[in-house]
Amino acid sequence: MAPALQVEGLSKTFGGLKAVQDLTFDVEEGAILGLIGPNGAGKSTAFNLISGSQKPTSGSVRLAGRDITGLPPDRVVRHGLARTFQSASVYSGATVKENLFRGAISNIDTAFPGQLFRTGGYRRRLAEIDKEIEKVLEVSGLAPYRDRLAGELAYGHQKRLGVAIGLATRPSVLLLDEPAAGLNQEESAELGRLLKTLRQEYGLTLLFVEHHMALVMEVCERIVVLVQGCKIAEGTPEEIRNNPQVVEAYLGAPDYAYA
Amino acid sequence: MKEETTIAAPAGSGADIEAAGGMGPLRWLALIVFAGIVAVPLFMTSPFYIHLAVLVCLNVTIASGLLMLSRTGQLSLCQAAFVGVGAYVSVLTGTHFAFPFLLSALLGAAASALVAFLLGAAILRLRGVYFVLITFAFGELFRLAMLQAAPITGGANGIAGIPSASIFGFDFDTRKAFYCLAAAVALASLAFLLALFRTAKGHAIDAAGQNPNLAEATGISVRNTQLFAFTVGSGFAGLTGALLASYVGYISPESFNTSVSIGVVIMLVVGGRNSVLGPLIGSFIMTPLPELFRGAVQSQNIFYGVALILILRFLPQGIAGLRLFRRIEGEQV
Repeated sequence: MAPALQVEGLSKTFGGLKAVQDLTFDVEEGAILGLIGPNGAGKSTAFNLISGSQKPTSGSVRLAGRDITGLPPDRVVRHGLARTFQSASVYSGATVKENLFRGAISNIDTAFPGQLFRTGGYRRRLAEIDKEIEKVLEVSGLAPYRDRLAGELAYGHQKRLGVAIGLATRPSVLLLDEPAAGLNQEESAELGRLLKTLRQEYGLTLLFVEHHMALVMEVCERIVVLVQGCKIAEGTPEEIRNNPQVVEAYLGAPDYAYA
Repeated sequence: MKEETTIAAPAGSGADIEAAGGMGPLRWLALIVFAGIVAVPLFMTSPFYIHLAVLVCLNVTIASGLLMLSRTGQLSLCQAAFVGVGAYVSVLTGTHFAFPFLLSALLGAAASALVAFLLGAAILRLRGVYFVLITFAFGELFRLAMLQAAPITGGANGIAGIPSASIFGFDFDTRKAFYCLAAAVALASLAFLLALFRTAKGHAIDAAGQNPNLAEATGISVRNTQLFAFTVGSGFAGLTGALLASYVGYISPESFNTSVSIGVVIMLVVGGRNSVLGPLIGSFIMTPLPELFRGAVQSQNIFYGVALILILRFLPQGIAGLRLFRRIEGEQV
């Protein structure tokens, strides 16, 4: 069986700058993989290349064996790869539940006239989606806030909602862009637990880009380290911690370790 | 936080994502007042006031079309051109092929929708101000093209003597009769908006308008959503054009110039860009104003400018953003 996500020879150059060079890694189904690296290492670019917001110069991205390289983000999502944003990205004027419903819209295949005249198929689909949303609300711990406007939630909850919206698209692989950025110690520990629950409940494969080393070491099973656009190491948290190259390039700066 | 958790609503039943609040006394009252206002022109004798009422209805329809686009986060400065496409197509098919009014009006609406679809497919890659600028240019292009195509369109002289609308043998040849037709179309367009914004498509429109990056990241194509709104909204404009031509009996390129388009945008800003009530309130207020300011034609644009600045400063959601109207719309305020 093909891995859930296969990245092969992915490169991106901006003019003369090689932002990402020949990046290759696999993520097995149900695994949690962390992509780390110092500032400017090309993590965000790699993230954008995989999720479709930028087109790679060369290389390929495969989702469960299917080539999704260079597809626009909305198509990538429909193939089962969803992403979250670094800053809390929600529809602040809509309720939590509406936010999740909007996340699930791409799973409604009823054409517009059918929606307007509320055909049986459309109503059944809505009822199914409603059930899915209820489950997402429960799992993400947002159920008590379902009718609150997203913009009124605390920052930690907004970030959680961002993950929940991604979940509502029913992905097989979820890409998280610095999910712990801006969270305090306790919140990010909670987030780590949430991510593990998600994998259990939904059989999700997770790939995340993160600065927060404690979270990465705690949650990830494998880690890929990027430095100046190149992969310099891949392995378990233990191996990465003891890899002299990584220590020199990255962990050597103690500021990062506790960022 | 604890208090809120206890008053959380019970689990949804699939319908509550679509619900727009119950019919409380306020909403019933609003509905009755609204029905009264709609009926008033039927009892008026002054042709001038009935004429104003007709114009309000036509503007409601055009502004409703633009509202869809504005909620996807885009703005068009060429709605008048789509009104014009609808008007010319319906008049020309009516005179050259002797099509009945209903058919030529629908053809006019379809033609506007088609032109908008083609234009949108070409330029909706552009975001923000670039799209607005191109629609502005398209509006001018349309006007100039109609001027140049004199053998067909009559050029600057326009087309006069357009017969009044007639549907299934019923002639809408009096002001009051036409008011009924225009009001029916305006109400239908509002009903369409209300229905639209309860569907998944309506939610996608709001999603694209409120957070395009997030929408894209959840499988909603912002471009296709905007294209949908632009196409359908321009269809509304085209239908209005067909009505307008049959009502006034005369069209010329100047009937569809940019200041008409800007007028529609102003209606939407004053009424409310995010509310279904916006087109209604905006048209109701902005349509009679030029008539009241007839004595001050020179200074009327200054008033508009000041009014726009005040609205944008103090009521960015337009008059529909006032508490009263938000409650009528079903929001818990």
